[in-house]
Amino acid sequence: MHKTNLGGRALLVALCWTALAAAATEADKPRGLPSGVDHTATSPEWETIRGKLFQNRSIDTTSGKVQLAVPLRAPFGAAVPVKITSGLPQLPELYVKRVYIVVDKNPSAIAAILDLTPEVGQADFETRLRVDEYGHIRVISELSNGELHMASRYVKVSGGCTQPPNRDQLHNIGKTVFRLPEGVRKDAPTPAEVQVVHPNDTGFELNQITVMYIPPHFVRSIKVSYAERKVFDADVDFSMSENPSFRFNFVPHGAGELRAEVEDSKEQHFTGMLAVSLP
Amino acid sequence: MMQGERGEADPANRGRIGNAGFIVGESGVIAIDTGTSYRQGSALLDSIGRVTPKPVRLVLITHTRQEFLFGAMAYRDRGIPIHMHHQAALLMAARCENCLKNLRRTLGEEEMKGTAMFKPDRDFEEGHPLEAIGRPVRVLYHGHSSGPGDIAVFDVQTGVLFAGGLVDNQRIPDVQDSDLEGWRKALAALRRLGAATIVPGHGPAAPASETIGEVERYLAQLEARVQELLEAGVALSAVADRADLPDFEGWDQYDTVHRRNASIVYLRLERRELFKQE
Repeated sequence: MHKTNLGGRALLVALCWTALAAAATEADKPRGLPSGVDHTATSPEWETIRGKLFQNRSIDTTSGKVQLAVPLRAPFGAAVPVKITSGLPQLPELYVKRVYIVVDKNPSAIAAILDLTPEVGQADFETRLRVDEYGHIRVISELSNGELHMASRYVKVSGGCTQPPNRDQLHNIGKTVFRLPEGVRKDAPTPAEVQVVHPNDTGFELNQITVMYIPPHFVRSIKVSYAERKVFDADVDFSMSENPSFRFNFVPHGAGELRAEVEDSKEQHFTGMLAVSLP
Repeated sequence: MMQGERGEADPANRGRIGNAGFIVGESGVIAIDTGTSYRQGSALLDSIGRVTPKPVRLVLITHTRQEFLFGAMAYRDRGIPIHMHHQAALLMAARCENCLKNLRRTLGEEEMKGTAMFKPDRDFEEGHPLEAIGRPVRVLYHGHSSGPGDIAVFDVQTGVLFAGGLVDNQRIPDVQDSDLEGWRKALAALRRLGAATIVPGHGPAAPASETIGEVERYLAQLEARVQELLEAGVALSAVADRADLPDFEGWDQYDTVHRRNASIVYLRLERRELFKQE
């Protein structure tokens, strides 16, 4: 523990040195980018995870084949939106096979592993993560030919204080809904969103009234299919925000049903469905 | 009133961004809020000592935000009892260890020396009059508003209202701990009080009615704008960038707290929709 802290401090110092250069070259710099940011730096936590997940395989961090957008200024730590954009079309001959989302400093750093098929059409995702500490969020894209590509962002959650977890409506746990925010496009990647009502309790939060720890209870997997064909499977954990959600794409060739099979850490099983008709 | 600086807590402002105040009566002083560190708490007490030799009888903490509460141990060490709403004390116990850790990192161990978590000497559930200093002072509590245990303090003789977390002036109010409906009701109740002057949690003192009106206007616009975005299917990642409210661009923390507010309100409205859908 002590060792990790020292590592963290050394990293912060290193980040400060590179701050100006990094800030100046930030093309998509939003208002109020904090100083002291180097999006591509490594961390002791990441080196460990990298070894575990990918051993000695090389990871391309400059190809642009995967891109990551995260608000850099004052995001709400309980739900930091993470937008992943893939730089290649999802074709059967070459496609994004897996997407790993890592939050270096979280107690469970691997937030999600998505297993994709070409059925997504375009491997873009948006989800929301809990981020307690300043640190990197990383997304690693594994292509069907075995290549690994990575994008990373340093995130500074602000405010210092977290919001107490939401305790109302517990009877709604597991309710799973789909939305189609931009309508349906035949034979083309169609944006959709799946969301599960779930407190996704980490086990580290105190109940504000009893001041006792709330036991962990979180969504473990979300499996999405369309017209009985797999779109993607997500293995997730409590690094996902309350009411876990994914925005994704699917390609409807005809009418069908979007379906989500959800399982949580108490082995409860939930299902969500949406009938999709083509225009 | 001892005014805090603009901006977020950083080493330059030493985290001293919240206002603090005090009321001098016949027989003593009531202090209101304690600053962000033991060191600031001591400095605030020294400032009071330069104005009056009378003893500080008690200190009230208006809400559970780091820049108002972490100076409290300086008061306790001088034998001054700490008064706080029960809900504010619970919220502090549930989360403020983490705030303190972050503050130490931001401001440094030296600046935060002596700063520690504490429990109030007196916690209370309801508003009440205070007789401690030979001058009528009222503690006002209007339920869960800007925060679950947020209070205001009213000096009856001068009509000065120390509004704590309920009213900021020229600064974006933070909705994170709020119940927006309850907040609106509490602001209406404060308006009915007919106070002359408000000492806000942040920003300069100002005429009460206009200042309350500005907070109401911000909250109304915030909610309306975010509702539009939600209905348009905008993803959370785009909400902060698209939640512009030009009327409030000049307020302190527009680039930070406002953006976060927009995300928080979006998540709440989304949750409400989620529970409604069949």
